This record gives sequence, C-alpha cells and structure tokens, in this order.
Amino acid sequence: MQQPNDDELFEILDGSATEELRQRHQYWLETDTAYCEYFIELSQLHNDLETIHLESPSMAFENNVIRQWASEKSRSTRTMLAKWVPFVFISMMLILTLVGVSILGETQSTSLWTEQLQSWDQTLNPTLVQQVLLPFNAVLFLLIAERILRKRLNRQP
Amino acid sequence: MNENLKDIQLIERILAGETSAYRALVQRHKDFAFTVAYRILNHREEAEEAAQDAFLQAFGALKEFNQTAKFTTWFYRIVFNAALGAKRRQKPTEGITEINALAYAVTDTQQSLHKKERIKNIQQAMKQLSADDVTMITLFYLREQSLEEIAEITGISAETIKVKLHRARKRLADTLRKQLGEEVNNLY
Repeated sequence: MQQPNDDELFEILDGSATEELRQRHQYWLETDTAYCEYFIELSQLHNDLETIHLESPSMAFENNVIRQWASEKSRSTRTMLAKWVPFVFISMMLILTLVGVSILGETQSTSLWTEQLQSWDQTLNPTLVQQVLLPFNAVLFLLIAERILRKRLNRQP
Repeated sequence: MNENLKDIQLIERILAGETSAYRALVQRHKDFAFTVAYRILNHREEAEEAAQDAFLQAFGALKEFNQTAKFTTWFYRIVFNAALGAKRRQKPTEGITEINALAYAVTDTQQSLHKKERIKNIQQAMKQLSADDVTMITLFYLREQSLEEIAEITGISAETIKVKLHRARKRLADTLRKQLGEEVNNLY
C-alpha cells in the first residue's frame, strides 16, 4: 500500500480526502511510527495556523483612512471645478459678446430699455466695442487654451 | 445577517451619501487588510500605508463594484495588489530587520505558554517565506477563503492555488523544523 504524500496529507487535513485515501492514511498511521510523527507535526501546524488571529493596525488607522479619503474627495472636486471653470468663463463671455453685439446692432426699437441702450449707443461707438471685446475674448481664450495644453504636454513622459 | 449582505448595505449607504458608512466599512475590514499587507511586507508602517491605500482605491471604485458579487473577494484583491505593489517598491533590506513587532493575537488567558511559543515560531518562520507563500497561507487560514475565492483574489486558477497552498505549508513546516533545530543547537 502506497504511503500518502505531502499533498495527500494536506487533503486529509483540509477534509477533502477521498475514502480510499483516508483508509490508506489510517493503515500507515497504525503501522509506521515515523509517518505518524510526521502527520502529527503537520496536523499541529495546521491547527496552529487556524488559531492565529488577525493582527490590528495602529489606533490612528481608521481616522487616517477617513481623513485621507476626505482630502482626496475635496481634491478631486477642486480638480473637476478647475477643469470646467475656463470653459464656463469663455462660454459666458461669448454669450455676453453676442448678446451685446446683437442689441447694439439693432436700429429699430420702441422699448424703454432699448431706448436707453440707444442713448448709450450714441456715446459708445458699436464698432469700437466690437473691436475691443472680440480681440479681448480671443486673447483670453488663447491664454486659457495655452495653459491647458502646456499642462497636458508637461504630463506626458 | 449574512456578512456580505452587511457589506452591501454599507456600500448602498455610502453611495447614498452617508459618510459615516465609510468608517463602518473600514472597521469591518481593517484588520484583515492590515494582516495581509503586513504578512507580505513584514513592516508595520508600510503595511498600514498599503492597507490605507487599498481602502482609498476601494472607496474610489465603489460605484463600479458589482453588488451581486462578494465584497470581500473584490476588496481583498485590491489589498493584495496594493501590498504587492508596495513590496515591489520596498528596499531589499527593509522588513527583515523588524523582529519586535510580533502582534500574535492569541487570547492570553486561554492559551498556554507553549502554544504561544509555537505561534510565535510560526510567525517568525512565515517571515522567511516568499510573499506568494505567505499570501496563500494567510488567505486560506485567516478568513477561511475557499480555493475559488483565493483564485479570484490572486488571479491564479484554483487548481494552481491548491498546489501552491500545499507547497507553501510544506515550506513553512520545513522552515519551522529548521528554525527549531537551530534553537535546540544554540542551547548546547
């Protein structure tokens, strides 16, 4: 009868041995003292491993995780805001420019508001306003785009 | 209540915006996360950092977690990878020098001194095994993970895990025997 090897001994310890293996093991336990001693040694190790408890981290561990998570969350929120702010700003400036240009460009109007605007119109030259606002926005847009592109290029290895 | 169900409920609370649930999830799994990292790294501070890193990664990916799956299997995989990543960055000499930090948690009143000594020897012997061997033994014994779950955590097939686990225990037994032999020799 073949003596169970190490793998088979661990199967016995894990409780996954077949009936044939268990019988073979029983036979060797009763007939071979060296085998019996070796099995007791492995069995004791198996039992000891089962009783080893989990280790605990330091008392500050929990607070550290929560604090780090909170700072990571706020950092990601800030990053997201920073990502969108330039686009929101550019969009608002463009809308304002378009609205301003279209109102100033109108010649026929009866409402009080547009009369007021027309009175400003007399003091402000619309062409001059367009000439100032549009290049100003264009410069702003280029500056922001340049900043974004530079950041992306710096990130590349 | 089923342990996985408790985890899923905590995750649902987190996703609903309840911040106190984060702490509860950390409380439930910190010991295991730390133990796995410590067994792999052999260094308490680095193990804490790796376990913290694993929690942060898990929190960041909670939205992507499939709630029909077992949380521990998913989380332990993150812990395992975080610890292995830290191990790769670790300098070769680190960890080996730390002998004093043995926190073998055997209930003092019930266990005999002899048993404590054996556990201490096992933990010393485990420090001499490879990260792979230690992980197999830790996952198998500490949280009674099935071979299939260990396979999912480590990304290795269950059949290979079985073989690796047998070999790891055999190596542990050999190291332990050698270690005890040296201690006996030193007495004479």
